[in-house]
Amino acid sequence: LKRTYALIFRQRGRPSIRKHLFVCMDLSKNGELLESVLNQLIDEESLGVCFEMHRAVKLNYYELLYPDDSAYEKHDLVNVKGLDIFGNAPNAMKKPVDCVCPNCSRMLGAQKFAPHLEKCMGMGRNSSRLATKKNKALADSEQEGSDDYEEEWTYPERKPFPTQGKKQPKKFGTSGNSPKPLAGKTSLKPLKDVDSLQLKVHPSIQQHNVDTFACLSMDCKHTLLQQICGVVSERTGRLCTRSINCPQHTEDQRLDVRKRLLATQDQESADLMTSPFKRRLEADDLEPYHELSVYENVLSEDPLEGTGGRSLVEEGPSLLGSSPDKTPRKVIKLEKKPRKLGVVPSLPSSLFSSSHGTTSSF
Amino acid sequence: MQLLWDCLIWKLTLLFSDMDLKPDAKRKENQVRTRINQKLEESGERERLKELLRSRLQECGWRDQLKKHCRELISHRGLNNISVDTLAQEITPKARASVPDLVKKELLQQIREYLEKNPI
Repeated sequence: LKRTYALIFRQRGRPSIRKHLFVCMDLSKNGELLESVLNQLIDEESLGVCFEMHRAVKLNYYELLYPDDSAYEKHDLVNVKGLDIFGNAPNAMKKPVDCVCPNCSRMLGAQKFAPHLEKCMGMGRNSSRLATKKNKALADSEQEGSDDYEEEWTYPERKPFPTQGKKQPKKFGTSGNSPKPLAGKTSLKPLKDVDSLQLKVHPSIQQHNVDTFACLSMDCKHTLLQQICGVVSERTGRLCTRSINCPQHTEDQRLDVRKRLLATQDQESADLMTSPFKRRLEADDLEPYHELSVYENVLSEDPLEGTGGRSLVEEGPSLLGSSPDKTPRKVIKLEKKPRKLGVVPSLPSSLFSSSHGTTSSF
Repeated sequence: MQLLWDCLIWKLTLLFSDMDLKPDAKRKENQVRTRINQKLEESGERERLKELLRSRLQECGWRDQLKKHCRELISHRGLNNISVDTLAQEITPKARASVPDLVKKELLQQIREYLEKNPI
């Protein structure tokens, strides 16, 4: 320090000595100054450590970093017979059942619930026939003896068949969809009405095969066979639901079917054994042939077909000249059969409108 | 006359060289220090020194030691009675003291070299 002072004193002027005093001070405290700089750096590092620890404490993950001894005890290996290494019993994995079926009051797992409900209620696409059979039988038995044939049926909308102005709003939502596997089994109300387990009984005619027909009560069978053709189709195994005068089947077929279906019957059903068509004619006490001749002119087809075509319309008593209390039949066309009588429907309306009550005026 | 005056100043400087707690000196010292820091920061040297220091301290285990000390403190005080200030107050003196000399020397060396290359 002295040397530097002397040097400065000699080399530079006096005023500059003071300036350089500070330089000397810097040099002498050089080490300390640098140390202070270094200490600053060290302080920053230690603060970093403090922040780390403090953060862990405040955010509650300190115990994860530095767990207590008790934490270790909780997770010790378990070496007990019958339990696994964590201490769980082998059957503890099973979960309890979750859902109760409202129909059969069974306990079910959640994954099996929906398919089970479908089958249980007989409402799904793949549901078993048993459920619907039972439903139908229940519905039919309730409807037993109901002679409410007031409701008229209408053609499905794709075949606009005029019904003498008495066209009622379409009640049978699925009537046109015969290919549907379950169409016959379910109620003909729109399928969204699934909630009501009790199918609303409708004096409608549904598709049957031999088995379901057998499930019906006697009265039901009788009434049914009085209304529909009933011939069992080879393709689908179902009874033809067209009218008694269905053009696609012969009287012999109908007789045969009735014999088969009512095989166990006694004399009561003897009346059904006669030709349905003839029986009807007799009951109606009409002059069928006169009527038929009208159609014969128009149609180059079987007279039966003519009446079949006629019967496909709502049948008022006017046409057949029968008593007013002869109620029209309700035949729902559920089968997709080639319709030869496309032309026919237009005719009767003109007949009806022009000659109500009279036979024909052609 | 001037000579006498300079001798006085000379004595004063000797005095000053031993003492560094005079307010003026302290102020000057701070000034210099800030200037040094400024220089280091601007050039990015400070960052480099920091990284160097961090790695050296980690290697020598200084960090883990300090953390252990922290844990002891926390377990003494209880988990809920910890604040940054208390931690810092307790930790810092120990931190400074426990830095190994080797590390200190190395860092000082680095700083000096830097200042020689880039005088203030």
